[in-house]
Amino acid sequence: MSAMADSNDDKTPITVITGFLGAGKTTLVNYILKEQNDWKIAVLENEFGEVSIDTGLVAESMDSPEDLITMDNGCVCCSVRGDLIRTLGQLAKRRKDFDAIILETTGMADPAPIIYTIQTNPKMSDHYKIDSLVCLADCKHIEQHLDEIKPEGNVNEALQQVAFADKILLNKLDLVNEEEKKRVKDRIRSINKFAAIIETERSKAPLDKILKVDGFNMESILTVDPEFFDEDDTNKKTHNTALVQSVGISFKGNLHAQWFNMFMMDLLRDRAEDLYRTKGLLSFHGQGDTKFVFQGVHEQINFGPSQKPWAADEERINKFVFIGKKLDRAELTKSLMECLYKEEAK
Amino acid sequence: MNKKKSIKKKTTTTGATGFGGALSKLKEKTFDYTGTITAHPQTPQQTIPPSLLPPTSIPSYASTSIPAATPPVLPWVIERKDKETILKMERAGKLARQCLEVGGAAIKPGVTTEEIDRIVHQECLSNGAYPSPLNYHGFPKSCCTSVNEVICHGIPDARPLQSGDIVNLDVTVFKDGVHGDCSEMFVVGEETDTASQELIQVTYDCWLKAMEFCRPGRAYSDIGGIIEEYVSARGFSTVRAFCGHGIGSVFHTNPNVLHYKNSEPNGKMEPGHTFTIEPMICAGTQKHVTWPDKWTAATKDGGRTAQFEHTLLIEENGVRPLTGKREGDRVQWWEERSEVHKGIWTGSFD
Repeated sequence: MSAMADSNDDKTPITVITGFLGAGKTTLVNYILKEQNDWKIAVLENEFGEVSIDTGLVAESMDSPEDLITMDNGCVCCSVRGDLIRTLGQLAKRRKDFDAIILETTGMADPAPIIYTIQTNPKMSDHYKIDSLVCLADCKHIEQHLDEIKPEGNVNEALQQVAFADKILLNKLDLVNEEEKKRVKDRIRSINKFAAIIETERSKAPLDKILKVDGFNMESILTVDPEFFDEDDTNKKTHNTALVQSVGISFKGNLHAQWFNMFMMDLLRDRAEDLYRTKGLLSFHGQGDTKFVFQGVHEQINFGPSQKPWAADEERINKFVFIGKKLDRAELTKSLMECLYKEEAK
Repeated sequence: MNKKKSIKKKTTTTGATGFGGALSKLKEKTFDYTGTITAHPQTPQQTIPPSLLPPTSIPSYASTSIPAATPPVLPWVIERKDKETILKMERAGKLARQCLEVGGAAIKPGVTTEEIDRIVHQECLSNGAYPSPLNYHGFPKSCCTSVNEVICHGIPDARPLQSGDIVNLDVTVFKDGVHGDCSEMFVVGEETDTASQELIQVTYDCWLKAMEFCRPGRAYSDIGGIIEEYVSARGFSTVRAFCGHGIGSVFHTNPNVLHYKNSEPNGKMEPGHTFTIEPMICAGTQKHVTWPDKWTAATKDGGRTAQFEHTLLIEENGVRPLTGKREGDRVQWWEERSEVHKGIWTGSFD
């Protein structure tokens, strides 16, 4: 019986956009559908409600006339009405018409179930791949949202949206001054150090920075600021378990494949829920100059060789990024370093 | 099924009734089948009472449908089997071959694929083994029968085989804690058209070439290039979506053996490794569509496709098939006409 293989050829990239109501998603969607002309995008929305469709537009039918509307610039807006798989399945027939798909999620905190479905449901994974998770943040109001105390056990959605993102669009800059902006950026960084923050005004995001960026690709760890991996004292004083943190670890050497493999399997099995995102850049003993990268959402890890191998004179520095809860930097560092290759006495 | 991908979460359907059942029947009727093969009725899925087999010959998923083991995180971490396990795998391999030959001997025009499945199932049980595909991620039968344009994972059903059909019979057995996996082509009736003959010959030969390449130290990723080069030069395509796999106490594990040119870090061959090479070669496009039954993969353009499979063992000086044909087994015309090796292939050594 054959096993199923993995191949990213030719799949339509899906960008998942999260963010609070009022952060400017509708404005962004309208900008994409009506003002820009460089990209042919299919936008999947839960409801049409907020999207302003002029009466002069032609309505096309998928199942019923209200489900899909084609815009002048070739983009379409599609109403999901709860059944994402069905909508993506029907769209698959004409996915060649689009450069990218945007999945706009209202108020959803944990994108993991969507990621999981798109990556493991064969009907989905044959046609689509997750390109990146983008969080639209309202610079003026996000601190409020982040500060909101939730009843026991309830998730702070703003916090999770920021924590999961590969890219953060910092919007409504016209409403804040430099000082406020810096404060917000620092706050965001304390949660998610590795997401790229892109400043936008009136939701006019530079689309080439958020679409088809292969942000879900493991390579993105290569562009993380080296400073990030330095021991950071500011995180130490707050050991609030509800706090989402970013922990960066780096150390020299070559890893022992078997030991690292076992460590990761144990970690993912035991801590999957608390590990929101992970990224890594690795060097293994016995793998020559191949540079390995990985990225993950909870326990789903994508692993592979980097485009460029280790250069001959390049120091082998392993880097890890963990974003999540209850992260003990010292413990993680110790366990990871135990995976470094050592000659075993046989 | 490698790592976390494509885990087909299945719910058992014992005689679908009600709205759900009607809906799935409708889906099957209205599905745009790409060739001449269409879904036919199936008898309900069997469950093997645990008392029929020794516990060591019942896989973890027999009752749950989900295999217990989690595969390694790193793609090049591959298990080296010890002597004892290798002996067990030899026995499982021989039995898989036996069940395949017995099933294959029954292939004739008018016989349904379900009847073949019953024969394989019975042969398996009477030899104290479990038919591995049964309930593996919910698969409803004991072997796979893939006819004409069906690439793989065809589910045995009430369709009678027709003269000129080409069918792949894929048998895996689980005995004493290990699996043995092999598949073979069969021509239904006296013969088939010239194009199908060529397809079978090319598939067989590229498979042999790939297996002969195997030696300690060589990269699993290099297997794909050998296959792709051989078949494209002759006007055929190789399926990318399905691959060969490591095998042992787990049905599908590392290494991933891709059947197309690639440079994935899927590890190096070492003595004690057991894995399959099972290229699916197509007359037309290699792209596939999946039937509403969520298993059957058929070529998108309805063109015919062929496949062969062995479970292989890497030894110090070469490679040998654990599911190889035994003396006295039927030698097919493509084995006799092969330009790579004539007659039964028993391995390749320095």
